[in-house]
Amino acid sequence: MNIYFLVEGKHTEKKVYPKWLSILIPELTRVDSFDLVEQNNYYIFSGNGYPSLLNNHLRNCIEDINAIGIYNYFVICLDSDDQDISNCEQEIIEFIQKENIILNENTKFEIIVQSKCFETWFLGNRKIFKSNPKNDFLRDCVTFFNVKRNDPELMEKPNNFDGSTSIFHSTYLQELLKERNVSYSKRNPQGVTEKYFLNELIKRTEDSTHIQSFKYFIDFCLEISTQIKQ
Amino acid sequence: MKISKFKFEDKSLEWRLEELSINRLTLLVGASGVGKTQILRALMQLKRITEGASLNGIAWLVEFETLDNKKYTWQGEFENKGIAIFFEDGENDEDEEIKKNRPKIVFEKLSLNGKVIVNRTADQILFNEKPTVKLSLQESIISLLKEEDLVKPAYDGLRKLHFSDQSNSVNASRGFSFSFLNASSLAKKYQTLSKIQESELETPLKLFFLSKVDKKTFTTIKQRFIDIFPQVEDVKVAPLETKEKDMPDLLKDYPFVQIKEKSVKNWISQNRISSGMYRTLIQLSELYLCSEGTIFLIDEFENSLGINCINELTNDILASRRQIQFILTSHHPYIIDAISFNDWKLVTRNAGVIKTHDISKFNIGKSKHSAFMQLVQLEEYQTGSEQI
Repeated sequence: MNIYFLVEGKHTEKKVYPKWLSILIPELTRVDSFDLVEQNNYYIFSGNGYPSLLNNHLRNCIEDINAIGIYNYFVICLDSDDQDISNCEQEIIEFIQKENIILNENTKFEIIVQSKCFETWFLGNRKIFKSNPKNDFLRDCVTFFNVKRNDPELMEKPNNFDGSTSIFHSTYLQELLKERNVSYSKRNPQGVTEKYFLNELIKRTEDSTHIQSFKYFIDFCLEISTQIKQ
Repeated sequence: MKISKFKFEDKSLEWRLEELSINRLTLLVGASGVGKTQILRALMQLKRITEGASLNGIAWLVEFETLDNKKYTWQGEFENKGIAIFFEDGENDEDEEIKKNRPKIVFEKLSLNGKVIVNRTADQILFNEKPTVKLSLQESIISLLKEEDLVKPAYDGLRKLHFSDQSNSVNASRGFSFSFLNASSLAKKYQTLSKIQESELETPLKLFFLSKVDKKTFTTIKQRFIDIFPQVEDVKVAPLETKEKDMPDLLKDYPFVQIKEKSVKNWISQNRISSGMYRTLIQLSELYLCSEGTIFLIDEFENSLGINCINELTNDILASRRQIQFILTSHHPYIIDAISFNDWKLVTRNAGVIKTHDISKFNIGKSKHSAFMQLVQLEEYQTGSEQI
């Protein structure tokens, strides 16, 4: 089993996914170069944001995968931002068709949409939530949308927030973690990579229907794990 | 002259650069703060040492080859008297007490084509195996013995290090430190392209004399500039035509770079030319007008350059057939991709140790992704630290 991951972000994804994968599919080992995969390896490539991931790098990824010939999966992980998940998937599939990019038939194609962004998933950890925070901004966030009670994936942004929805989600998260003294930045997302944090997110998917796009990722990992064991 | 190897240490500030091998074109890449600029500045320290500076706690080794194929190795070390700030910039101080207190050289060696020509210890200098008369303990042998035939080429070579700091180049080079009273005698002095190239004039002045004596080369530079900026119709280096009565006499005769744009009535003078355009003109001119064997150290090559001139200037540097060496730093994808990754050095820093890495060890070049995108994937590039 060999997997090629193309992720959208420069820092966070490249730090979090490897840590999570080591917990979820311990049989998989990361390699530093795409051509070093042998058996039960994965390679992770950062597409430096969207749409550059699509326009500039997707074709090269697929050509590399085809050249190596032993990748079982090609997985794209990207934020949906303000789109819904199916539109997001559709956009990628249409792009591949339009550009006439052909992935070899031995490699399965998988899209993992982070709805609305990677940080949204982390907001699913109910343990980090504080209903009465000290910080004013965070209090406004909680009033605007209670991520413990409601599904973070459904959260938009307040009208008076200047940045995008994704930036709002990541700011909300950073404020929450600051309040909990958990070390976190996009560059150094240490806190959220821990096993207990991941388990909290999994728990959330088990006793609610929240963060479904995260559940899709977990199910994908389970599937890979099963395939490896067979 | 071409530098091939360089090693440097600042014992007072507790950092060192491990051996760096340098090509004719070397691009230093790496995260911010890893020491790319520091490497360029360290190279410039060599020039100061050849000029007689005493630099506290500095140890160095450099290998270079002069234009007439003399291969030199020069190494040495100053004593470390503690924190450096007290000893910097005192070279012109006339006070004998202060002079005496400057850091002394504890060891120095100069070899030519594998043979040691000067060997120095804390209390003795052997030149061609014979002790010299007593010489300054604080000055390097290249400075002290520069009139000797065996040493002069090394001195001349190292003087060709040229640091181009793009963060303020525009302002720095716009004022002329030049008295025009002896303009006619200077004009006689610079009557050929090679005399202009070998002069120590600032580039705008070189351009000025060039426009007088070598119209063909001047037109080549001008044409190249107009290629990049098609809105420009003409370039001249001449005194300003102004009706301002209160202009000081001194300025009236000064030559300034001026450009004429299409459909714009007046010439645009040096101080009003856009910084990117001005830099492009100066950089282009330097490629033609620098002294043969110049080593250009250009920090943040992309600064103030728009995408229209970055491409062109990078290509001109790559295409230059003169004997010029370039050591550049850049974060710009175009520049990085335009330069073969074999010429990159990835710079990392772990505590006080700066290391440069050949790109070949990172497996770059096999993928379909651009070399820059492959570089971006490296932890070493993202974090600036060597992954151990």
